[in-house]
Amino acid sequence: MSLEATAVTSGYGEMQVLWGIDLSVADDEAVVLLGANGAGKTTLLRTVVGLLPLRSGEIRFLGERVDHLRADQRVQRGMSFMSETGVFPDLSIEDNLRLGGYGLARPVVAASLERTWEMFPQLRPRRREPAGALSGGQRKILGVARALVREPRLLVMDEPSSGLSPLFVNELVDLLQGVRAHSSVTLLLAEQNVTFLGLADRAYVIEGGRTRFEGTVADFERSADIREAFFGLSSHDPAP
Amino acid sequence: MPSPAVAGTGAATTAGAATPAPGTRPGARRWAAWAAYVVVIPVLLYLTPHVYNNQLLLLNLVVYLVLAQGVNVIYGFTGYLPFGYVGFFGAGAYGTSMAVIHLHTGGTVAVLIGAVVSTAMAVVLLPLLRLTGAYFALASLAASQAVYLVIANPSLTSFTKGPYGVDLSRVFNPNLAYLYAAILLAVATAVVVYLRNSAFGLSLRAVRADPLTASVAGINVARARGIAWLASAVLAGLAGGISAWVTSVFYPETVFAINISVFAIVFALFGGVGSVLGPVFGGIILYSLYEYIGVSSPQYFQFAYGLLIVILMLFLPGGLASVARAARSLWERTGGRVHRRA
Repeated sequence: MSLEATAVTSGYGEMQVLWGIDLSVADDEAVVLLGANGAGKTTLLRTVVGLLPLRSGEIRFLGERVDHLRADQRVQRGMSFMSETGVFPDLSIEDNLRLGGYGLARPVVAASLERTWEMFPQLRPRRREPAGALSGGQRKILGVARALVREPRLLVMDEPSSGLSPLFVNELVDLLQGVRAHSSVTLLLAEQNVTFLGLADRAYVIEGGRTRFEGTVADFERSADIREAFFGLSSHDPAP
Repeated sequence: MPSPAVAGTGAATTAGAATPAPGTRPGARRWAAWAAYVVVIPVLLYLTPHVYNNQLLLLNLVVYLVLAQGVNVIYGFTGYLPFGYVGFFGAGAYGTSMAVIHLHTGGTVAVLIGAVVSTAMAVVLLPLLRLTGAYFALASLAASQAVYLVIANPSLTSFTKGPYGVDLSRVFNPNLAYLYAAILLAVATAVVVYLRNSAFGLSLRAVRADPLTASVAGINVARARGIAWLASAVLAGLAGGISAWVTSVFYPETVFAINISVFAIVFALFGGVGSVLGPVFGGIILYSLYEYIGVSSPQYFQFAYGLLIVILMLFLPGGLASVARAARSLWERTGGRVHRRA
């Protein structure tokens, strides 16, 4: 099991956001967390990667407890996190990618960068430009590229679709599908956009800091009430 | 917007990959330039007393250049503005003095002990890094003044000589001290060169820009900041020790004067924090100006430098270095040299 979170509670200051969520992601699986704004998706991801302290429950990664570790230690163990913003706008594209490999040996980073340029050729000629000069969509690409530099075992992404046009969302989904097809990375995404179900094996629906639905994507397609209640999809809409 | 290449389709290595990368890594020439900055300026300053016979003034200049580089390390790379930076300078000066007076060491060992004392002070003050912005600036100032008040306390006279000041004339050796100061400037500049070119320096810039994103890039944020803080404290402690050694007879208020912080900060800001040479040139220009016309009416200079800090922060946060960079890129764009970026 890649990630196993049990009875997670978490929040900000006095405000508790998560009320005992169980979440598991198997090796090589892709899992999408769906839910409205404020449902607790981002809080859950931030707790998983260590940006928020766990209040109770436990988090295991690759079989080991990690909830006492700092975010950077979890990253060193093979998690990678792409936040909604994702990049350092003032640093150059290349420096952003180098930071993705922070702590790895120099030759490893160099090889990884070479692989990244091949994978994302549109970034290469602009490597010296600040990441802030990229369009929103290109920044997402850079964010994905940076998260992949260290060849993570688990890639956690928060709302990769935010701020993207529908066209770009499709391209991002294709990109992630390509990544999955050619490497053994486990994906955990939080999304409002159901397009991402297309690359997922399983889905969770989170509401008010609790799990409302958990099951395979096929199960999700069949549960008409969930689809209607949360995403306004009527039961005869085609599967996304 | 060109469509992103899907990973692993195999056809990815088209135009982009074939483009030769114009000097992505600092090439040999760039390294030679860095080495020259590290070596040449301190050597020139070391030789200057043969031309301009005022070694004490020049030593003060070199000490200020070291302090400006120290501010560069902590402010330029982590964004923490240390108004109490003088605290490390004073701790180094008094650590050195205590070593000479109580341990009967020579000057060299005493200066090193001074650096140990200032580093210890920085370790104790590490929790200040939890504060940000103006809160950090004020808290560091308060900490430096607290140390000053303890040292100047008359009831500690038997140990620190309290407000009556110390006398180090037993170990007076200005030529050796000046040599050390020049070496220290080379070390301080080398530290900045390292930060400009290393993965660690890059991680500091990431922490400065966005600590949360930096931590999920695998950077231990507290450790990175702490190392920069300690490095800047070591530089200030050594500078304080050397300065004390040469000044020989001084009082607590001499080495804990807030002016010292203000000068170091304004020199670094004026020259440009985050750059290698900015603080050096900023310091040379402004300190010369100060010595030339400021000594007769220092109160106006304090006012002018305070004002300069505000103006620089608001309108020219990159200092002279950013002006130089802008001028160079303008030169390159307007036909000085045809240099098109793809």
